[in-house]
Amino acid sequence: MSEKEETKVGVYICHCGGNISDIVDVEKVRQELEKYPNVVVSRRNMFMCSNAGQELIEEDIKAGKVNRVVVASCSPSLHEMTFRGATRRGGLNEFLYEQVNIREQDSWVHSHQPDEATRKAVSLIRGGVAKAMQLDPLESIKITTRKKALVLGGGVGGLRAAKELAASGIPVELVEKSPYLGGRMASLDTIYPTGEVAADLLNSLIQEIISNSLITLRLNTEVVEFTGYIGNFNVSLKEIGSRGIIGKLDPRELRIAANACPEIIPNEYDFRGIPRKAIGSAKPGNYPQIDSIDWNYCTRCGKCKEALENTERIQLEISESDLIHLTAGVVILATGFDHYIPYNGEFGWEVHPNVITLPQFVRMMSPGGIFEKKFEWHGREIHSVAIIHCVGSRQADGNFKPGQNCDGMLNEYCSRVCCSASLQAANEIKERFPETNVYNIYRDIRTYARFTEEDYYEKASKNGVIFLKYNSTSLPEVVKPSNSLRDRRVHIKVKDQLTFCQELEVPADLVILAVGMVPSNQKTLINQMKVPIGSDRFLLEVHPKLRPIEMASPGIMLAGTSQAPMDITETSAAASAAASKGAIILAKNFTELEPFVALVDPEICNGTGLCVNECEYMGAIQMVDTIINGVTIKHAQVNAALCKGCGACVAVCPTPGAIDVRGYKLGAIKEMIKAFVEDVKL
Amino acid sequence: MTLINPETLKEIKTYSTKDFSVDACFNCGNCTAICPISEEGTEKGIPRTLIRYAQVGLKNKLLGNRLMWLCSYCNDCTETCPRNAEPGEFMMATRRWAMSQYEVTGIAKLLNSNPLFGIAAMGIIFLISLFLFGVFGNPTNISSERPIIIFNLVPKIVIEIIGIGIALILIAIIGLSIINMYRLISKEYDSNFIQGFEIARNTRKNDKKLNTVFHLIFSPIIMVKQAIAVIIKEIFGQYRQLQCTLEALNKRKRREFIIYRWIMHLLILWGFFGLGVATILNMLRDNFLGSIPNGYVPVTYPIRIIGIISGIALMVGVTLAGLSRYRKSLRYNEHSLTCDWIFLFNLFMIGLTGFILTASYYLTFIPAELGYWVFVLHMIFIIELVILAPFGKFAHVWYRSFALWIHYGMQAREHKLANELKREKAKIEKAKAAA
Repeated sequence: MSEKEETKVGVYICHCGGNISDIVDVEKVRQELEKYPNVVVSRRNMFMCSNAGQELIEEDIKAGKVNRVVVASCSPSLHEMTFRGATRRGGLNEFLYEQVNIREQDSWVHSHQPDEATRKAVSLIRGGVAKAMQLDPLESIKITTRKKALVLGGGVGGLRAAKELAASGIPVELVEKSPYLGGRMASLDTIYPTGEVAADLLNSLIQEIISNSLITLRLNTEVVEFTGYIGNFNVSLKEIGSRGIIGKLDPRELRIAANACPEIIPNEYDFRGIPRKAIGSAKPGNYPQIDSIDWNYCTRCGKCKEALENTERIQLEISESDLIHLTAGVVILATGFDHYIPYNGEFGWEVHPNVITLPQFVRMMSPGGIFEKKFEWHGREIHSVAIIHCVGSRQADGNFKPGQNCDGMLNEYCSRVCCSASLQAANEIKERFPETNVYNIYRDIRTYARFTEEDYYEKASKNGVIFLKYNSTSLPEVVKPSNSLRDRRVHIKVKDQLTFCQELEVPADLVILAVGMVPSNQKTLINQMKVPIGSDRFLLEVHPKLRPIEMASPGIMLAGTSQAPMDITETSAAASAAASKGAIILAKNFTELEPFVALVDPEICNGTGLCVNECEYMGAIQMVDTIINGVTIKHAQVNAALCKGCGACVAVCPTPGAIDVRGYKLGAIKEMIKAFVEDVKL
Repeated sequence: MTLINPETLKEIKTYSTKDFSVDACFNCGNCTAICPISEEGTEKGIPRTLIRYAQVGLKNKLLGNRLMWLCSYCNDCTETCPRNAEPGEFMMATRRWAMSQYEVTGIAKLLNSNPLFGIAAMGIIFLISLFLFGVFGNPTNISSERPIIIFNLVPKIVIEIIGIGIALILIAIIGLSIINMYRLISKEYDSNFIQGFEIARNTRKNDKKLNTVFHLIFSPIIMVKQAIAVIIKEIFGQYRQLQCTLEALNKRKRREFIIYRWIMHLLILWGFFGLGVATILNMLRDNFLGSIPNGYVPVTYPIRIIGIISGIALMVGVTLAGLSRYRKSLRYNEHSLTCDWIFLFNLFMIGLTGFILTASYYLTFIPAELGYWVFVLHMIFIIELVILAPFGKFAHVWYRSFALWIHYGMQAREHKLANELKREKAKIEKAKAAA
């Protein structure tokens, strides 16, 4: 193109309302650039991003004055799209545009050296002009998308996302690893801030899900293979095993079977609070209400089957099911969280039998739990309860040790929901068993929830709940009182900040640890999907403000606590946002990607394969055989949908010109550098 | 080990007729900021500190706090409290509770926390006194002749023996209670004092004076000086109360005519004191100078003048106090206990019977017999007042005065020590500079 047509560069310098022009002598820069070869237009404007500024560009293009646009202004992350739009509207290919950052990289950082800053601005813009000269018109990469969504996780986030997607007419595959829907929410009783029953809310959501023909439920299923890219994710699913119980056992039969079962296992639903057998019943709030066998623990001894006269309704042989292959346009990750498990000895955990966690306590207080009617622990009435806050959260600046399910890492984040949940629990104890003394031993409290921010605290403090504050450098200690052997209570030693750092001892019949959230154990899935995780081990979004629910791989969205600790409200909001984003992607039958990806020249490529080894993005580049002029040539080929344009392949390629990133060709960069180092005489 | 005890607060709350929600206190310290008697430092940051101690049940810390006795319930704390925790009422209840803890017999506890006990006690004392007067008295001596010679009805010796006997028992109870109070305060003060003067202790480890409060209290010059100050300034001037009142008045610009309270209190105090002086002077004169011939005391007789003026002051004061309690016109007396009423009632009855007695003495149109019978009533109410004194509202007289005395003494001592410390530091620094 450049041969056909003379390149005419237009340079537009922005004052940024003084942000730039107060330091940089923009007029001098303009004059200097006007003299620069190939620059035909050099203008400046108070705000290039304003309509008037953009019109300058459009008019110059329309008048045929320029065919390359260089705007020297702020960071491209702010206004690249703005000026690309102006270029396009002027009638030019939008990729013939180059942005030079003379604000963040010049005026702001050199505010004390205006002369130097002016000089630097000239250099930077010259570089931009040099690069613009080398730009080729490009086209966005178009990918046809499959109109189907895959939702991983059947908790409240997954359910919500599936519901919203289906509502916009998109078929949804809802995959859940466990035999039941509902996730963590299913094991909650009443939820803040409304005090509604979690199971009721969940049930109404589940009813909508199961009655929706667009949603395919895949329970007891996990992902075994994950490839592809936005619009075309290829997923292989495997059913972990059938429920093991066909049809329905009546309660009596189930009891017989459970009695016969020799495997006593921790009950995950009750957070190991009450043990259960490997064959067990569905819990209230679970969907479906079908009993199941836990294959992680079942040894297939057959005793349950024997006890029920070898009924055919118990199937212990798992027939290896075939893999299910799916193609989905978008994927929503709603894999949720796990409750933090304290290390042995953390605040007396697994040392004193009176120490339990908040999720366990919630189960015990729920209908059917051991505290439903009487407040007794191991046969003794509970007179005092201590709730220790921030267990497994905010583990910074103190004597913290990693919990059992934290991969040896400390959790520095706040889990956010525990304050409200703890106070809710405290209030519930006071309401149902008013004679009990309740102590909240906290580090800091923030019961955030819209409209009810202080209600829980207000209620608790008026109910006579006693608050004690510790700090991270002197953590509370749970000890057995030395003076009495018969005393079944434990004492919690607290250096109470509210009582002027007095060391106090709190007697407690029951200690509740308000454990935080940790990311659920999804390492295999994370490895398969190649999705980034943050330093807190939760899944990482692209940008917390600008793209809060998207992952770096286009087409994968986050819904809920797989991303960070959230309450149900926030999870639902995130899930709806993820669903909307999915629907946006799938609304057209194609999606557009930026064209800045690697491109191989098969005629030059020697087929060394070094780039394939270097590439971080699985499948973005691979070796192919092509027959050119009757000769089979082995060469690299880029999958534009998967390539991120990082340029690692370009760097390792031994053959000059064989591979280049579009929009950032080596030649262009070279010219740019040349222009940078030219002398600036002002 | 300091074990948390949530029962303490519940217990304290039974010492008020109001179910005030001090549990709601989140220790923000607004009350401390506005309180005219709180000072810098944890232990002196009342009422906040005390509320926290009560919440977690550090009984000794509460009982060892002398500053609560300086509080005269100006109610500023309650008005600024963002949680409506009523720190003012809490302080009042805590004082009553502390009083019943210091007091050795346990009667104060019953009297303060059980409204019926006071009434029952009044009735019993009334009947017993009546019985004693009936046994020892001689009603046949009552006549319409003038002047009224009251000891014709009940022999003086009986009154004196009963009076002295009761007084001895009560002085013993009061003494033991005060010793209790002193023990608790000095124990707490000791530890805090040493904490506060950590540097001093480290630099002068051998100075035993710093390690015990014993020297402090019995540093005779300081304590005598302070005792005089307390008696003049605090007892007869109610200086602290006036200060608090004025400060509250300035700060809050309250429409309540709060100074009314100070005057009312002074009237009662001076009236009571004057009557006591008159009675004692009378007794001394009778015993050492002999009775006035004919038994007639003219109205212009100096002791009688003191008596009449004091009586008027007492009656006016008590009436005002009673009215304000009845109308709940001042915030601090919105929640009166039975024993507060009993105290006022006894004072009022003593004053009233005294007046009727005096009137029947001088005014001939009043039958002389009435004078005799009213005198019996007068004596009975005095006995009621005196017997209930160590346990009820009256007891604040010595608890407050004693706490003030200790407080002034400690303040003076601390001041002296701080100066010494400053001088020593300056000396060290001088030596350093010289080196």
